[in-house]
Amino acid sequence: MNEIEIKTKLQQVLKQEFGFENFKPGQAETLMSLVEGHSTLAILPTGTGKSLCYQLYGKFTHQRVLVISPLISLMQDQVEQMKYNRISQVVALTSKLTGQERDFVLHNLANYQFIFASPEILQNELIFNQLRRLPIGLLVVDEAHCIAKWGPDFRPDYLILGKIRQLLGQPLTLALTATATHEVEMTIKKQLRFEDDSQVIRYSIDRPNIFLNVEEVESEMAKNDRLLELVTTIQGPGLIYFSSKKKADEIVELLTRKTNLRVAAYHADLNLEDRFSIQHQFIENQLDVICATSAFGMGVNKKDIRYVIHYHLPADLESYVQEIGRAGRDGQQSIAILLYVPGDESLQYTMQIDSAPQKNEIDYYYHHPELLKDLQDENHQFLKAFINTQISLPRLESFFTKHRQDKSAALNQMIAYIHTEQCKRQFILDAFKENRTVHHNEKCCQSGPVDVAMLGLEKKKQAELKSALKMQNYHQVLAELFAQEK
Amino acid sequence: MADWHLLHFFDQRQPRKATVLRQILTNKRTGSVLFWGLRYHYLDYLNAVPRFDVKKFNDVIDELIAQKWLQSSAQGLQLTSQGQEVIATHRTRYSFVDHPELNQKFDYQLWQAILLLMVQVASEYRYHNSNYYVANQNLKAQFVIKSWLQVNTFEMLAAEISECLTQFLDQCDPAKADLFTAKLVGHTQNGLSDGQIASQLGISPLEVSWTWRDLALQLAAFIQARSNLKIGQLVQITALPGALTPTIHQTAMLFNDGKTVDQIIQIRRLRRSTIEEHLQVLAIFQPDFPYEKVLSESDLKILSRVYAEPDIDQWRYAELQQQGFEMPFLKFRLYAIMKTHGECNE
Repeated sequence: MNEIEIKTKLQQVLKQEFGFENFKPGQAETLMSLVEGHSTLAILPTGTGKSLCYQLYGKFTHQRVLVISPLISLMQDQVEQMKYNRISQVVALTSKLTGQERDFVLHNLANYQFIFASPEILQNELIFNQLRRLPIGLLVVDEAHCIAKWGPDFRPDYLILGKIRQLLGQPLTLALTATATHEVEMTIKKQLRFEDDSQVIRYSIDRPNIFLNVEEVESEMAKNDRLLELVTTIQGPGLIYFSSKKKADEIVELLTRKTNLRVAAYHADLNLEDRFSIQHQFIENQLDVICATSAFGMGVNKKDIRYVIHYHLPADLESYVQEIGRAGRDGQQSIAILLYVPGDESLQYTMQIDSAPQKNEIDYYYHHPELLKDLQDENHQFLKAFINTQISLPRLESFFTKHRQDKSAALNQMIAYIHTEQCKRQFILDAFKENRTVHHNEKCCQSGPVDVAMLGLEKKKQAELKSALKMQNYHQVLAELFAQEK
Repeated sequence: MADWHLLHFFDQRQPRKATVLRQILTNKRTGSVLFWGLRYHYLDYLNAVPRFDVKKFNDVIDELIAQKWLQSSAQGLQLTSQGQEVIATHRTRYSFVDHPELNQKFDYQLWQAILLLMVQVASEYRYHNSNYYVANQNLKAQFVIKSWLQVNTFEMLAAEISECLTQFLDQCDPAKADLFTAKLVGHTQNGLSDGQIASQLGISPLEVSWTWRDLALQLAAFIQARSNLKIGQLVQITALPGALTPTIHQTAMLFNDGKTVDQIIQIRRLRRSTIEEHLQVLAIFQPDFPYEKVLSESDLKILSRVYAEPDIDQWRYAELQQQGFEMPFLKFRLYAIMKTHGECNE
């Protein structure tokens, strides 16, 4: 097939399998690069359908696709979404599988075309050996920026991906991320041992339809009042991000009490069934607002989110860009608001201190790694993954010192974004070293109270009645569930 | 307010060790835990909260002590009158489960996934919809339902599950029945979260989750009891061996056949302590345990003389030696189990 024929065929598969007429920016180029046999790093902004690239490639070539992903919730969302799109030969190999499930999956591994796996599960010899026996048409490394040591999302388990790729026979590889500086780009290519003919597809992280706003308020009480004002005047649906589960719950309670909006919390304390319910209530517009922590599934595909408000500032600009990227995936005007009280950063500083092991702790666990076995928190798991890489103690200590400094620098950059007097969009592009000048206008960004009417985002009508989510009599529920006469 | 529900497991007269409660709730089945579980009337609660985190549990207990709802002494924890008052004031129909013992009969995690999927698949089928987000990602549950549907029909699934749910819920407390169906997912129904239900009923999310679990397990037993139902096969997959594990069953068979402890050790090639523990567990769960096979008349005479104290909780094995008697621990423990069962019968 020549290039034109390939493009036509890709377009056909897009229409037949996914129901879309046209590719989003970056998708076609990424696919062409892969079809031509080049391992590819695709840096595409949030909301551009990165996952479609490997799904379509699998459908196009009928080959097996192995996707390595850092977050279990992300994998589960992807699997759920693919099954909904009638791609049934898909499975996620994660630590959440029960022994019975894992046995079942391993026994039937050859029947799956799309296999998602966390990097830590690939370190299980039994599982990895099973995978090695299968022909892999495409290896995908999702959220590839997690490879970068100086990145805030760095995952030590990602360090072994180059070795894994080699052991799998250097299959064609697609690394995906929304945010990568040139330094991170180089690291990804080096760590994954990309060949010389590999390609990089880079699109700007900028999302011009998202208005960027930072508003400073005097106190937490003033922040709550302003939040109430915003959610009752801006057209939803909306997402509010928090760094604390407790605060997210408190604000759900406040908004439920003081507005007629339908609001729910979404964070790591929710069980899987409740996460499904809340996500789907939101997707189907039975909820107006979600108060979430970063646990809110990255794979949630709701296109019409009109606003993302940050009640707490995130740990770094990368997270901020990822999180506000949930807004306006339909291309319509949307807004990202960061509410800031001077001193808010102290919460992030505290979290940073808590999230990095101290020198004495590193020393102790380095000599007693067996004690880390039962400690499930992220902090200790992080340390365990690192010790497993057989790093020397001085290097380990110096890594964590550097890691703390990097995290601190990343937070300082986030704070600088809040305080900058220049164009905020330009600030973000500069931070990601995009060599581009923003043509600032009234729909670009602003510090201070925002005029939502100017953006066409004022609330148009009263939200639907809250009763939509009221409990019903069980006879009524059963009648509706099973289409029985009431 | 501190979570007061664990107060339910404490008594104003009998001091109880919190560790025993945690181990019972999380299904730790050593002979010692089960013995003290028997003493504290906890055995129905085995496996009731299998993933109760140690730290979380200890934090709750510490808080209950700090509130002076529990009193701590060297013997254990006792419910205070304020604690009793808290239970009386806050208790609602959702506070405690009705059938905790069912946690030992069914694998709740798997059953919950199968049940939710069954309902969703049946509901979407009734609306002729084959394209929907699957509510539960449990692979085994998905596999067993697919396999079941290869032999049976969607219509049978829909007919049986809808009929069963109606009959079962008609016999339940209607308020609990409403709670139960609020979490079901199906055509145009996304289900409500525990938090959403809790805020509507003015109870805690924990109470929602316990009540749902209790009813789900009761539904499993309801279906299992109706042998004509094909969906009973899906319940059967989740059945647990119960209090006696297969290895204890093997020991029990040999013991009931008249084999002595030494013979059982030889046949089974297991350690003495393991076989003795099996016999303790057997005695705890088997009301007609033949104590005479282990305890001779003279053993019983000695034991009744040494342990004249009526409070069995106070008995210590060391007392036998202190009074100059040599007797294996197994005999001491079996005697205590026998007397405890006797107390219960009285």
